Amino acid sequence: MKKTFLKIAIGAACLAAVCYFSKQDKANLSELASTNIEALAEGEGWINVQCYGWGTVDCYGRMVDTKIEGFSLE
Amino acid sequence: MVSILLSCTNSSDGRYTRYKTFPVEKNLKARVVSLDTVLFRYPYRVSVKDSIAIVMDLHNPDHYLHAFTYPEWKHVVSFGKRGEAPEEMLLTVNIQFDSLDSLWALDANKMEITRWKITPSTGSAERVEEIKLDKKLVRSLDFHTMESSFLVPDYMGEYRFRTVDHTGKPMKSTGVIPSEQANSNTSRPALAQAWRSFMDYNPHNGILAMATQLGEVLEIYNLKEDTQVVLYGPEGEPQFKTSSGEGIPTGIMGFSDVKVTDKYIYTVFQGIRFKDKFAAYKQGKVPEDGGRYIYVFDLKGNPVRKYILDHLIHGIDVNEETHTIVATQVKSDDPLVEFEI
Repeated sequence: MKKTFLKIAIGAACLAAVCYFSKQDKANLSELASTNIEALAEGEGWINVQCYGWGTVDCYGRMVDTKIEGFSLE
Repeated sequence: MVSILLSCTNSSDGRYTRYKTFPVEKNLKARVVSLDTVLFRYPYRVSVKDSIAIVMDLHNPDHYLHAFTYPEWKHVVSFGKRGEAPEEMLLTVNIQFDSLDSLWALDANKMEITRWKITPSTGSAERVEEIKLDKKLVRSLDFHTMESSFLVPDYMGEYRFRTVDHTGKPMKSTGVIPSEQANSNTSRPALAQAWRSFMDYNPHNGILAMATQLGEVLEIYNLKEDTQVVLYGPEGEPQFKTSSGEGIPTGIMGFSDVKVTDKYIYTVFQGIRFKDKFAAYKQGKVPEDGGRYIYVFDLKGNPVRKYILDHLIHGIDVNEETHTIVATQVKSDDPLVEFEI
């Protein structure tokens, strides 16, 4: 009985850990997809070019995954 | 021979030579390098000299440069501290490792090339020289040391590359961007941004190779014989649009590294389209980052071999004597891999 309880407890703990790290991954992805979109201001007005993600494309002194025109990935 | 002739032809489609296929294709399986320490964030470049390997991490929060013993891969020292202090680095974009007292690093945001001396016995790295690049160059994203100068791609799009002396002053300007699409209305700085290229030079044979990051064009300059070959691959020249004076890439991620050995030119090729990257982001996925192919050309530009890799890589170090390619992987738990060629 004790062994069965132990197995269930360990199983539940593993499931909780998987859910937690899965959520963490999604949170990181969401962070990457949203907070790295930045409208960059320079001079007199807004420049319609954004730097997106981490990568190797040069974008206003940063290395980003993509450099896009406008405010969406359309 | 016939297949080489078939795979590299002068096309009526454009001014420059086209390649389509490689006479030999080979799958390569990576061997993952086991590291004892150092958490990389974005290992981008690797260079091996004798018993030391240097890895450059493009997005590391602490240090850009990391030295290891080779082939044991024991950590020696991390250096090139990221920061805004006078001797810290703002954005290290590439390295060149010539010897233990000549590891060169280019800081694109400081517009500075620094030389480092590594002492494995004491586990230390010392910054021994810095060259401030002239403001006329505006921005330099790659470089190569020459006997008494440096080569850097021209950021303003008026020339292809510039020769800079050891005080950082431009001495000579060479070539033009070999675009078949640009015209007098094309913004030259935007064109140069789209044509950002990685460069490598081999002083033994005088070959300088430049490979486009945002397209599939390889340029081969024989600086001893003063000749040039331009090769367009199936994806062609970098595609872009101009917005606010900036070149916005609209085509593909092309080459991510180039190395010139005594016999061959090795390039890492990605090929992922920006529209596919956007689609991946919109679906909440992380798009591929890295190249699955190594294209090998001879020094005349004939396609020789295409390696198809089982890992996505960015930077390479090629050792033809030991038949080994060391490569970096980003966004992976295995930052370094080796391939036997």
